Amino acid sequence: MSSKIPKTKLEAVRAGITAASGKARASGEKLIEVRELKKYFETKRGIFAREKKWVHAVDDVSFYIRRGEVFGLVGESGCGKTTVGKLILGLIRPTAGEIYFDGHNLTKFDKEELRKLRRRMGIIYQHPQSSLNPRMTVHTILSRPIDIHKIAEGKEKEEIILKVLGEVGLEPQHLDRYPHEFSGGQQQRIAIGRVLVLNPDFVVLDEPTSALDVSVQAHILNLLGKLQSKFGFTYLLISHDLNIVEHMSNRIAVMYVGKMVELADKEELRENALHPYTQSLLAAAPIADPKRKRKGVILKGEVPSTINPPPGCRFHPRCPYAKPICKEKEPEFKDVGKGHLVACHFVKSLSHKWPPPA
Amino acid sequence: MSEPLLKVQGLKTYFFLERGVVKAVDGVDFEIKKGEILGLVGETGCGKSVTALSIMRLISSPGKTVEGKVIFEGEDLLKKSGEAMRKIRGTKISMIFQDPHTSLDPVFTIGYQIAEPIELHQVEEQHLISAKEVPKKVVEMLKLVGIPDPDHRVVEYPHQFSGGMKQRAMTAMMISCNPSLLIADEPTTAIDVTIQAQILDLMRDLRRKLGTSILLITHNLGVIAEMCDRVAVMYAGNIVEQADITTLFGSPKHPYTRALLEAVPKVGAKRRELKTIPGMVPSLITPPPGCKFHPRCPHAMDMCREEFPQMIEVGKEHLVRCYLYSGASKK
Amino acid sequence: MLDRIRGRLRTFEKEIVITIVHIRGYLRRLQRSPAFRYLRRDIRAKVGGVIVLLVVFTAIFAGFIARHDPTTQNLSNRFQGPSWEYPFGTDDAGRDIFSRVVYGARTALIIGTLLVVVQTSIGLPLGLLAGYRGGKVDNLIMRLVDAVLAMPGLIIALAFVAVFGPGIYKVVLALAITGWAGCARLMRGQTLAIKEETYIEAARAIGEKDRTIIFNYVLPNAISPLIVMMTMTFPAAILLSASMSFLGLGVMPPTPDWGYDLNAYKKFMGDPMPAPLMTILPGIVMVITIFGFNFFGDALRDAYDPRLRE
Repeated sequence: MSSKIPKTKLEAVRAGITAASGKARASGEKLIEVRELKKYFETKRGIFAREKKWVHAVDDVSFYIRRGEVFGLVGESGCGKTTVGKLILGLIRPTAGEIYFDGHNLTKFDKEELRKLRRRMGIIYQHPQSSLNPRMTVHTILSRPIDIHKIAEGKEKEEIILKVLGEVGLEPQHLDRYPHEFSGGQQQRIAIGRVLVLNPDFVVLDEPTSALDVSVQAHILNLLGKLQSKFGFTYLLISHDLNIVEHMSNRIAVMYVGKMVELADKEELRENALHPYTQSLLAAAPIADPKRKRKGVILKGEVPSTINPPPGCRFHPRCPYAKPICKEKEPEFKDVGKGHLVACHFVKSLSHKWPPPA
Repeated sequence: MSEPLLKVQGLKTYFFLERGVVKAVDGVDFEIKKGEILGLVGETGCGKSVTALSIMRLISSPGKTVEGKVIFEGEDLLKKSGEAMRKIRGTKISMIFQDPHTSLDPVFTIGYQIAEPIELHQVEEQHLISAKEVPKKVVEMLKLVGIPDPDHRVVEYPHQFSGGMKQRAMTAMMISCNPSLLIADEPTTAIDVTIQAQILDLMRDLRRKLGTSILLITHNLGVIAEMCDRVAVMYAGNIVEQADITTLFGSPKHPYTRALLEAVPKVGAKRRELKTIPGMVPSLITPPPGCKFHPRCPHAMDMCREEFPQMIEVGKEHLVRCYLYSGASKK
Repeated sequence: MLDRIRGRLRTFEKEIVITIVHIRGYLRRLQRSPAFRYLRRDIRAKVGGVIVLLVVFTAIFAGFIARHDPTTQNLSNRFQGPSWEYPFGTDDAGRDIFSRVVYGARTALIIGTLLVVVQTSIGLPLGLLAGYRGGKVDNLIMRLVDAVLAMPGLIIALAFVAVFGPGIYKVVLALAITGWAGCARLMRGQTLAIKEETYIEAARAIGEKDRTIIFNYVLPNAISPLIVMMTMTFPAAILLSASMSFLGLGVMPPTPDWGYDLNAYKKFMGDPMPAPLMTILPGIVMVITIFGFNFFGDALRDAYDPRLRE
């Protein structure tokens, strides 16, 4: 099983963190590929349950992420976006489907091989305080990844740690402190430092700024952007906030109740969103400009449960354009040109414009 | 020009902790007119929630409202007795909280919880309706907030409701006695975007149908832009700028307001980097002398370090707390 | 050869210095901890703490505090009342009751300490395993814990001593047979809760091995309620072992023991020989000790309660 860490990368890290010349930026090469990915969770029922109920968290999702790009994943609660991120990282095992990381089929890896591969991956969580071990100092938090993967020792290790501190905007005197002694923004920087120390290929950003104030959010987003340019990371940016996703991503995918309903380049999505759900999402997102009032219609109904998703197209109960076929048949996720994919029966025949006709 | 519904003057609420006195609200003045939606925006720790709780007289030890007047419908709420306040809460002034999941009691049905304030205030105290009419009123309320199939959902429990529905149910509970003022503390932070749109729409509906004034507290500038008539920006316990919505977003005057607006990622903006505010939010125990924003302000002058600036009127109902505009008339 | 010894000594010295630095650092951080700050202000911690320290001090320096040997009999000196020489008087065999109480403290604390060690050694790993692994392992261990908790601990301990004989170590063992279950259950609950925390998943995300996660991530965060439990085990142990000795199935002479003395002197409460102070004074000492530990433990429990943070 080829899970060897290339020597050149190791040496690059040992020499200190330098701009990763080996990583071609947006070279088009697929770093991550996901095929027909499914993840069902069993709901915990009592002893007297007759049949098991499944939560269809991720239900047949396929896409790829290019090396060096920022891939945005948006959706509301329960759509499965966080689960997708964790599946790619191998923190959760898929129920079905395949995940490829740099050509390696992760679904065939055993626990130990996956663990070694974590060297090339990182994740930033939504709540920085809970993502850091309260009993570890900043120094330990930053050393652990280095020690686990035996990247460096002694003086070299300390050098790496100090360099990382500088990159994320922290100071050496912070090393002896505990996470709870820092503000939310600083905690998130520590978490970013923990990722940076490994100089990974791929980082999952799971709502990285949702729990932070507006001004702190700006700092963190800028930092993430700067690090991406400097070190050539590939990001999977998961968020419910369209503004942030649009600000940072190259391509954006929209998920709804476990399925991917649209995927397009950033500008294409903004100007030519085809799926009614995407359109309603764009319309519903509050814009910090009172002159741009929301265009009319608000989506009715509730976000459906993932335990018993609606039959056929999952959006049909709320879709203003729904027709009988939408209740019966699930639409395919098809390419309509220029890498723009949509899952809707009528994407070519009807011209969807938001707001829909009354 | 009729009297404003709510007039807050010089409100100061301090928290007396062992490590010092936290000046959470340090001299806040604003007004809300009848049927108006006023937004109170600011980041964590600026004092917006404490302001709302102070108005409702829900501040408990170690906090205390030490100074100020809260004039509601002509009377100073800070001078009222506990019992008098209790009668006002839920009937004249109501509050919706941020997290609907924890604001509803999980062991009682939704119908029971909505009926509670109705029974308490309208039946027992005001004798407006009889006890028999309460169930009908509850269903009416559920319909008003847009909960489908209300006759059946009255007997359900909170856990059977989704987040958005819980927020609606709580709204129903809070407006059941037709308050003149509704305080909404981050009502949309914990719910999805499409549901958020519904809740905001509901609030606008209420304003239109019942003439309810709303004090909308949030850190989300987009929500403010969409909902409010006027906005007050808070920083470290004070209001630093107040204006109507178009003016605030169109020509913000206070450096903090400007910085805040520039820090928000905007759709379609070409800039890759967001403008950030240097420094950190100041301590509320030992705030910086003079203007509390001066350590982070790009335009800080000597005067800013020495004396705390007063509100200056720079336009029609546009107030700024900043020495950059001392040329204009002082308020 | 001498050089090698010198070398070893030097490394040894270095190790000691490093350990001391670590301990100092730990104590300093401890002082900054919110739990410590809470305790400083809490009257229960101060009063209880003083009592605990006094008892511990007495137990350790019993030899210096007691004036006489607690086991020496002196039949010409029986039933003396409290005096400067014999602060608590003498018993029916002429032994100094004060000295017996002082050395009894040592016995009590030895039992307490050993019980904590044994119970935690069994309960902690089992609870940790059950909580972390879950599934069948969890089920198995927890059913065992349930069964043990359903048993009457004192009665089983008495039965154990009845079969295997008396003595300090047998008493500890007897009490530990059932005592470990509480610790295991607590540990399992803590582990279950901590397992779901984000930083545990984050640890997995950077490639930590399971074993490291258990010892470096779960355990240090689970330990706080355990410390409270360990503190509270002392008064329980004292009371239980005293009960056992009172019933004659615990510590036996010549080892001085509070429970034993209470039993031995109770017949002198009234007829025919009124010397109530013989039972009462040691009894008061025992009560104060248990109270002190409980008081301090209560304060400690509140100190670790995250809800009491400002």
